[in-house]
Amino acid sequence: MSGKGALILGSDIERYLPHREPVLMVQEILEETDDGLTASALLGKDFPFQDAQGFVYDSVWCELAAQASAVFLKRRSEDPDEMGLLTGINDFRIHRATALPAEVSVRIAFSRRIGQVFVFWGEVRLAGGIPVAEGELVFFVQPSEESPKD
Amino acid sequence: MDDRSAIDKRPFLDRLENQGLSLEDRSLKTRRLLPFDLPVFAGHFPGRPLLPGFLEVWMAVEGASLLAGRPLGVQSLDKVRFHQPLLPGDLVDMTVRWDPDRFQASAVLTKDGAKAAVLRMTLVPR
Repeated sequence: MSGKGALILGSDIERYLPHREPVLMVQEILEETDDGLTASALLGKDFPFQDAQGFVYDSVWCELAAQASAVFLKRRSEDPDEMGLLTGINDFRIHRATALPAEVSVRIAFSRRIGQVFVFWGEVRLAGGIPVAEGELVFFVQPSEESPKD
Repeated sequence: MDDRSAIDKRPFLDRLENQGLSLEDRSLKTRRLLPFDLPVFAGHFPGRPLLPGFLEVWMAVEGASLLAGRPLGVQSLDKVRFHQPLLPGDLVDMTVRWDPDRFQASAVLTKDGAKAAVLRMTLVPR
């Protein structure tokens, strides 16, 4: 993942995501289509969300797919303060425990919209195409005029 | 800083202040305080800190691991719903139920008696 040919890389990602270290995982957007995009991430040996055996928390893959989905939504939003919150996960399957370091790609595809609810399908693969995880993510996109009540 | 300063590999639940834990054969109840200085809040999100959903899921996996008596990983997150965000300083009550025959777990996280997250998942030995 040299960044060569990437659509968005490095700190430019921060224009599309509110996440910052240690939670910011998406590093580059490699490809984008009308209905989805492919992003990459390199999780180093010092990645903070790992168990005692050095395996990434399996739920990290949901977060990675969620961040890629958030980039997709943000690039299509005309509201600069609009924010999408993950509200659901459906049938998200983990194919393998993944040790660190891990170089992965995540492909997300927009599935459907119901009002302010947006549904995506995401798939995470290791370098070489080895499947890691896949499943459905549900977001509620909060327009900026609806300030959070929490 | 102690010798964990480089990488903290403690269970995530152990990074939260334990305010109660009861274990039965197939269910667990625990109350944890989310510390204001939990490092994850710095990045999720600056100026609007809330616990990422993937850590709520992992709390439940670790709870199931306590019940199973061994480390568990996820085979599938069958259905997860996040109802309200968990914030710095929140007291979180988590109930986990474990079915060792089917390797399935369900969990409910609440704060102030209201649901924050509900999970149903299938787990695997790690």
